Amino acid sequence: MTTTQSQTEQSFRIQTPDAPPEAYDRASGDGATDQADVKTEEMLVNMGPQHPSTHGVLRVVLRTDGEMVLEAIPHIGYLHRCAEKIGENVAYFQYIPYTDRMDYLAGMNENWTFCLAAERLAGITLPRRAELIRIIICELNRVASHLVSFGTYGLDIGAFTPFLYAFREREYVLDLFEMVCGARLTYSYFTVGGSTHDLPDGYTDKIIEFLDYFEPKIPEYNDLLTYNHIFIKRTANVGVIPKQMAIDYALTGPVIRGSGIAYDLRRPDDASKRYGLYHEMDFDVITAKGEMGTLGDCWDRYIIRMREMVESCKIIRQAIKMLPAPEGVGNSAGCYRVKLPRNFKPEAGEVYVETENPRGILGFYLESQGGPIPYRCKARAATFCNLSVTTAVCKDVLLADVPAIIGSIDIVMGQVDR
Amino acid sequence: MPSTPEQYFKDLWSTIKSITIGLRITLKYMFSKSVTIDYPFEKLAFAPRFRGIHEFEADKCIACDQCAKSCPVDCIYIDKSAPRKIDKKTGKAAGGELLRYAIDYQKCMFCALCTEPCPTDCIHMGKNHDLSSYSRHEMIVEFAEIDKKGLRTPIPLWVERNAGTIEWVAKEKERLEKGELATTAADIPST
Ligand code: SF4
Ligand code: SF4
Repeated sequence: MTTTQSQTEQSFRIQTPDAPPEAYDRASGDGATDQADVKTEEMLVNMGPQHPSTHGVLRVVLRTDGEMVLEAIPHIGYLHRCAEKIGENVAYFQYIPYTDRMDYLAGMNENWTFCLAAERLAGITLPRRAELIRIIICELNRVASHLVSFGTYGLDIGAFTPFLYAFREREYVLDLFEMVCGARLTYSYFTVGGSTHDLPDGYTDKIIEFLDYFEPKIPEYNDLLTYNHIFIKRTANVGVIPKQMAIDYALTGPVIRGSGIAYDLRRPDDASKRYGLYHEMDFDVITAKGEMGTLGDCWDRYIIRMREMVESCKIIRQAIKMLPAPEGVGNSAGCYRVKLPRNFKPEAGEVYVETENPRGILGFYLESQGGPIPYRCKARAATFCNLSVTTAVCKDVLLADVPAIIGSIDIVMGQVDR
Repeated sequence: MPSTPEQYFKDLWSTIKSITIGLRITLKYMFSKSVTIDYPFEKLAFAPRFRGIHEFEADKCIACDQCAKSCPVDCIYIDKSAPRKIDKKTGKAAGGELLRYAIDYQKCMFCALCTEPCPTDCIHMGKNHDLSSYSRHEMIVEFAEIDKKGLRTPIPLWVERNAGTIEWVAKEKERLEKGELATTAADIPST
């Protein structure tokens, strides 16, 4: 055995006869001695942009020492489509399809934020039915988005099965969206002043049917993944974001609530930040308590999403009960849309609106100069800010924990890069 | 890493327990009905509002450019020889000729913004979703040209190819060839 080994070693040396020994010493850093037979070196590992666990085209450069990651630097921009600049070249209603393509897992919420910004700019208030339609549809979208997040997080950790269950249920939500707006991913359902169509007849029954089917599935997911021992071992105490760090990095959404801070714009501390009719709804803002380990670890961020799905179902049920009977187009409570002129021209002015997206706070800044086209359009993407914490969290962690941390932040590259 | 043998066996036990719980759920679904369908042999039902490749009624179009103006990506090309107007008696557009009405499906994002402003309601979102082609210029559909063949919407390649073998595709092809519109169903499909 030993002879064979030395033989191979020899043949290896023969193959590279002209490698100068000094070069090897220099590479190893300090002067290598004859006794040092194990030399470690830092290595740069390029993860992505085409990597199954980076949720899109994110490239993370890892400085590793063996299994340890010393530093992780995310490089973004692979999906940049000048979405904000396009906003300065098309009319308000024409920009709505572009907002779908930012956070493509929660298109409805993006539509809402942009429409809300345009409506605030023009000083439009919506009829009650239109507001409730928005809440119902957006909470459904939140469920669908959290399902993707839960399923793909399982994939990141190495559990394939929950993904299939999550996508099965998401499919029903997409069917519901197809009924209401005709698309399954890029909805463009809301428009400035309401929504493009009213809910179809019997639609609320379909939603109730779905909720009745869906709510018992959540404990099933918990059995499959949440309380799975291997999963807990992989995520608890990993990637801890302390409270102060969460505030410093302006994290929002499930990520900040996973650090134990109850910050949810659906329940703002300050009434001027209210939007929609969320203040009439009865639901809880979920915050993590560090059940499985340290407060703010990956498991905490994950469980926020699971519990928020339950809350979303609660909100949808209440909103359906509150929904006024449909009426024609006009301005009374039962309308789904305010009649607006086709060349909609808000007064000159500026507005910044924030709403609670499934992934955090999405903001739209719009500036009008009185024309049909916004003068400036800027989006504050939740995942862009959330992603910035990666470098701070991925310090001295194991290589296998990096996908777990990035997955728990739950990024969508379409929104990060815009 | 487990610190004590006690911890080690505890971990082992918890792992086995979680796997059993997971497998019990899997077993439950193994014997229930499958949720997937065998496309393309089974038909995939679309909602009536489904936004697919457009259906265009060239005889009603007055070439007013409203749809092209509201398209965010400027992918509708319209050309006419003289002004067109709706003839009150027949309900068809008369006057100049509609020389060109084309939609570039490389750019179109199926947002349905073009269907909203149309004064004569002649452009609709259809029910076909797959317009693959062998070259780029085939993605530009000349609706004025295909209207001369009596079609409202282009016949996708897969329909042509599978009409002989799959029954529902053959029916779909027949509908497309007759130029029937697909957008007249009830709001929620009965499943
Ligand atoms: S809006 Fe209607 S009538 Fe006018 S050009 Fe477009 S399709 Fe023709
Ligand atoms: S669906 Fe949208 S992108 Fe396509 S032609 Fe109509 S307006 Fe343009």
